[in-house]
Amino acid sequence: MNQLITELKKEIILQLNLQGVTPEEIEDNAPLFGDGLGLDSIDVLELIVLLRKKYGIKVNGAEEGKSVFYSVQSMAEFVYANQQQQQQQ
Amino acid sequence: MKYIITRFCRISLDLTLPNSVRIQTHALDEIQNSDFFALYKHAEIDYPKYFKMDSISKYGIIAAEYLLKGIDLKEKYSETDMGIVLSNASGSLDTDAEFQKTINNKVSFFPSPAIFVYTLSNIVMGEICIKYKIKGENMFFLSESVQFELLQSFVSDLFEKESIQTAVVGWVEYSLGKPDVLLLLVEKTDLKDTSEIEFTSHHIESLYLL
Repeated sequence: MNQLITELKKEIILQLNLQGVTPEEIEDNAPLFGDGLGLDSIDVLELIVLLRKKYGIKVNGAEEGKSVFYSVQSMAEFVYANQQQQQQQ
Repeated sequence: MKYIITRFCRISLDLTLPNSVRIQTHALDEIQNSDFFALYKHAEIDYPKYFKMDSISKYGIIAAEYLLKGIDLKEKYSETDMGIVLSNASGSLDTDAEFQKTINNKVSFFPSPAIFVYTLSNIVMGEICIKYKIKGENMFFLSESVQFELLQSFVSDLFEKESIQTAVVGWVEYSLGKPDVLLLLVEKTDLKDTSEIEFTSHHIESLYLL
């Protein structure tokens, strides 16, 4: 899980052009939006594309999106759960 | 009453050095590395959103920063008294092409929302308005080359109708890695000062040809 979290942090920085931000500076449980990284609505769309493109995972609806994109930790748990599901199928 | 160009910023490709641009303002004339991070640092901007912008918007923000640095427009004018009239030739073509790359491949079809939001000619104007809180009259013209008389007459008309008290006016073009930018700050004055640059089509052209 820690490896996945670090990977996600690097991807977020790269995809969202977060200049000057390092993976170490992003707290696992800090909110991605609002007070945390201060991401906006376009950024969340980019994160949806990121999950689809890199992990082949689709986010279903706004409600799921809210919990998935709350923090890097919640994103990692979502990706991990989906990867487990894919392996079982 | 007359209208004067109180400040200007010209950014163009420098042909003497590779990967460099020439920045000319009322206060400086310098050759700078065209790398967007270097330009950001040199302009001493603190605006992280800059890094998410497309190339033309970055140049628009850089030029606006040099143009408006050190002056408090809010102290002199209300937000709705500040207008902006810009123009260019290529619209957002450079960014349109970038977006096209994300949808070219049917197998790897991942349209980028962050690029898509910049696929409109006047987004650069919107970014300048957001950063500098310009909420007055605005217009964006598309033309093959700079229409000096059109810019002068359109903006002068806005002044005469009391629609604006000041305006950012100019040309913000970016295509194939080549910036070609001229921004002017135009204000009203009733003082007679021969050192001032009057807002005429001839003077706009002279600044463009610097």
